Amino acid sequence: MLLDTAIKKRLRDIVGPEGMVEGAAALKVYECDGYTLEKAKPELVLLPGSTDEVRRVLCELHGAGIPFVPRGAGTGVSGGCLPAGIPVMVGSSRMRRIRSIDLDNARAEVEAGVVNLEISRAVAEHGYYYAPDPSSQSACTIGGNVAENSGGPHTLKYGVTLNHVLGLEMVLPDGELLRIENNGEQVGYDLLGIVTGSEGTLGVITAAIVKLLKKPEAVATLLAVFPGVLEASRAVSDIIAAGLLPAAMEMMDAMVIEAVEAAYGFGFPDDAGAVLIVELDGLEAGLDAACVRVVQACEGQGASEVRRAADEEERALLWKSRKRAFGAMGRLTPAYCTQDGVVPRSRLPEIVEIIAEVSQRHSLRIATLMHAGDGNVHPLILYDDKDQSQVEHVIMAGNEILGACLDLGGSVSGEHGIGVEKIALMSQAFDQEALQAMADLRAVFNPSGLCNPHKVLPSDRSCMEVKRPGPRGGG
Amino acid sequence: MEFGDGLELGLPCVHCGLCLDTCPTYKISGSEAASPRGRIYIMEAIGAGELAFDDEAAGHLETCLGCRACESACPSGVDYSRRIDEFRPRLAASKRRSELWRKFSRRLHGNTRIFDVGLKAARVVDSLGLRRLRRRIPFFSLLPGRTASSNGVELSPLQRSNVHQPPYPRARVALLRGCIADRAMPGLNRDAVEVLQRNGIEIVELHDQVCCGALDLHEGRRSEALALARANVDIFSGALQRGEVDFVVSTAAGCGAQLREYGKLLGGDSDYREAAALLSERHRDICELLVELGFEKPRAPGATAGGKAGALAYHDACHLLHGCKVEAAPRAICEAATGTAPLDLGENSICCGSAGTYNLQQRTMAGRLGARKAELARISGAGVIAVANVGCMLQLSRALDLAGLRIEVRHPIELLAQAYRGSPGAKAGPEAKR
Ligand SMILES: Cc1cc2nc3c(=O)[nH]c(=O)nc-3n(C[C@H](O)[C@H](O)[C@H](O)COP(=O)(O)OP(=O)(O)OC[C@H]3O[C@@H](n4cnc5c(N)ncnc54)[C@H](O)[C@@H]3O)c2cc1C
Ligand code: SF4
Ligand code: SF4
Repeated sequence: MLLDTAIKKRLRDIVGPEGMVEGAAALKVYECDGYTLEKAKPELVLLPGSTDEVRRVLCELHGAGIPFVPRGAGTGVSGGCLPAGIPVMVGSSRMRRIRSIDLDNARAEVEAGVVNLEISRAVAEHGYYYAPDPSSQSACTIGGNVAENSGGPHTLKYGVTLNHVLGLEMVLPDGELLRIENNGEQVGYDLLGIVTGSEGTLGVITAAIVKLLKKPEAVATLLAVFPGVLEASRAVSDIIAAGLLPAAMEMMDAMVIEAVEAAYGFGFPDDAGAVLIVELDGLEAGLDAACVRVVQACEGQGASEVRRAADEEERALLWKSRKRAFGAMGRLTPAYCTQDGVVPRSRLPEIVEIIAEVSQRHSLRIATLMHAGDGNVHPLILYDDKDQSQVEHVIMAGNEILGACLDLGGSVSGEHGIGVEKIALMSQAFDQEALQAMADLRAVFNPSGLCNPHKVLPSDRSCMEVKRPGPRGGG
Repeated sequence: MEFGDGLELGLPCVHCGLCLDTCPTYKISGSEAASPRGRIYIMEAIGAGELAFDDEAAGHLETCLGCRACESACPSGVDYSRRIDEFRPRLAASKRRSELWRKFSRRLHGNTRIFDVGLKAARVVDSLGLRRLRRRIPFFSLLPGRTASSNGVELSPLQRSNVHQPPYPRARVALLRGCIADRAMPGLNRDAVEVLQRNGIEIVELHDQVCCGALDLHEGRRSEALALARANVDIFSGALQRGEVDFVVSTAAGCGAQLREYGKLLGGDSDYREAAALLSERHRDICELLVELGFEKPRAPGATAGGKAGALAYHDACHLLHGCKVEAAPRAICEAATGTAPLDLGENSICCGSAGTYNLQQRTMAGRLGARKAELARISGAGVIAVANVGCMLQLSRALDLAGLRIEVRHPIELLAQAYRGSPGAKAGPEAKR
């Protein structure tokens, strides 16, 4: 217990009673995020309402030497918010103002707690949108997106969060306010690039200036049905080899199809071994011709059916099915663990075979979802959270798949971050020197180490007071 | 796969968080303890003995509106309302509610006199020019008062002469009157009768119908709720089985959503299971029924619809949108009644704070939600807001009053009835679909 009543009172004076979460039941809720394999309860959750409150809170915590962890909506799936050995959590859920929308320069300044989809909603009537579209976009925050450098199905063509952030306002762990802006050409070091993807280890992001894009003139969404994942992943390479750059190429295997079909009833054929969703956008002219080439590529790999979404309604339902696929897994299993690995696109068929082998060896059902265009695979390992021996196999299976991604020349995280989940894999992915360089960089922003310790980089203090899930933890 | 002890609660929550931002109480408070995922987590932790069931824990559950927006958002199909309803008896048993409230709420549904007395008193107070003041008093504030001015709900006299049972009915329906609606807004049920009959739908009076039981369930009086459900199943399903009626129709979405739950609620009762499921299946919201069967478009739409200048905005009642999944039909009714598609009020999936008796118990949160709607109404520039549920109408009226906005609140069916009256003699047959 690090927090005494005196400091609690000072913090309360800053954030007000509505910004203090301190009851036992409420704190329990914050013991994990979307990653439920590990849990730890914070002593206090603070929900400041403004940048100034964040600044004063961090000054106070810095003065008292108290570690803290930033939190957005808690949809992260690598345990980035896990407060293990961290008494205080600083949430952005009461910082939800859209500060300005500047359509002339196609940008908006929003507070960190603004939900991703809200930005697109706010500018939709003018024909604009915010491009990065993580599947969790109806709930996750811009602060969380920047911290994780989140991507989404449309990353293939439009890039990740970093490509859409023009500036950041953040508070450093000692309470200093920092504004980083990139007005056009990058002059000097790319600080935005350092903070984006730093997983809450460099300070608390309080606002972001984001790019707005004009909606494309035309969109075509195709659904191709394959006998299996292998054929579908080969078709992905063929589409790219044909010189096309789709806005998105997403793959779901039979198990995922079963779950989303139960949830949304899109009407996927029940004998589908895998489906590929290919979206093309851009100018009206030439779109039809591009569609024909996609159809050819898919049929060349044995697609039994390729159809184009007839209208906006069908297109929306298709995307809803895809974007909510993670959540829909609850229809098949009491719990699941989402993995996130990357392989060079051409090696997708190989990782597919490895996943099947791992699944068999550990007797675990593994459903697979892919941002196939980026070579980003999401194996979803289904398990029963009440079965302790299964939990261990889940962790082993996950590590084996990610290890294989590295062996194939890929990476251990496409978009979900390292958090606590993948710390062990960092030493596999990087040598000691590289890890030290990263630690040094972190120390420039976060010299005290108070901000989100024990995350991302392996540390000698990795003896975390982490609780494994109990018999019925509700994960 | 076996879900073990979670099975009776339906599909498991996988903790994805996708429901968070649809939850009104989370949006307002920012606390995850006031979010669907948080509440589920708390209930599970209490169930597993990991968390004490104390005032604090109960408080997080009690601030839940029961609006079911989280169910619409949840990709895993988590049956949130079932979980919280299972928990309600424990909530009610906890000593948090005052004895006075318990007595009051127990009488609320059975004893319509409370309303009659309250309504009279409200009218007197309003006639003394004290309405804004009255709007600040619990319960009393929600009642429609003198309605000569803007926000009250017009108690239009029933034009008996216009009411005929259609000689060749296209369908026969029983009308679920709703105990609160019937007292607070008798005009609405009269309008409903008029609209249905004009569209060739015969109303079969079923006497002895009782309160739907939503209020009891919400208050954790499970056995009372089940008893009421059984009584209604006896009456309505009996008539359905005998072929006396084709559908059971409601104007109040809250009661309608409860009827649709009967199948699940009585699923464990072998004597009632099938009859309850039949009733759930044959329930229709009045707007839904009209659109399903096809309805007469008024000849002079809008002539008397709003009564005031300013566009019409439609707001979704939670129990209609999330409870009954009815979204398009009431909008179609509004469009037919006024001649133009209604505006969206914005944040349509977010509750106004009415939520059964919520606005009597959780007054701060309800007030904030109401104020948020009033602000959206102001921004929208609407002159009339249509919403298809009595509770929401009362709550919105109060919120608009408190915000000093002169915006009318109407049920889509009232708008349609009024438009029909403005186009007399229209004998054109409805475009029947069957
Ligand atoms: C169903 C589902 C689907 C998903 N789909 C995708 C997807 O398609 N693509 C993708 O990239 N991710 C996806 N994710 C992962 C997750 O939604 C993203 O990582 C998201 O950006 C997290 O945002 P959040 O607001 O929930 O952040 P949180 O989970 O609250 O936090 C995530 C990390 O960011 C840090 N952080 C949060 N806010 C701040 C802040 N203001 N300042 C500094 N640090 C902060 C936290 O400390 C933590 O380390 C998905 C998750 C789920 C559950
Ligand atoms: S209730 Fe549904 S949407 Fe909410 S966290 Fe659980 S599974 Fe996800
Ligand atoms: S029912 Fe409504 S208030 Fe209750 S948790 Fe669900 S969304 Fe929130």
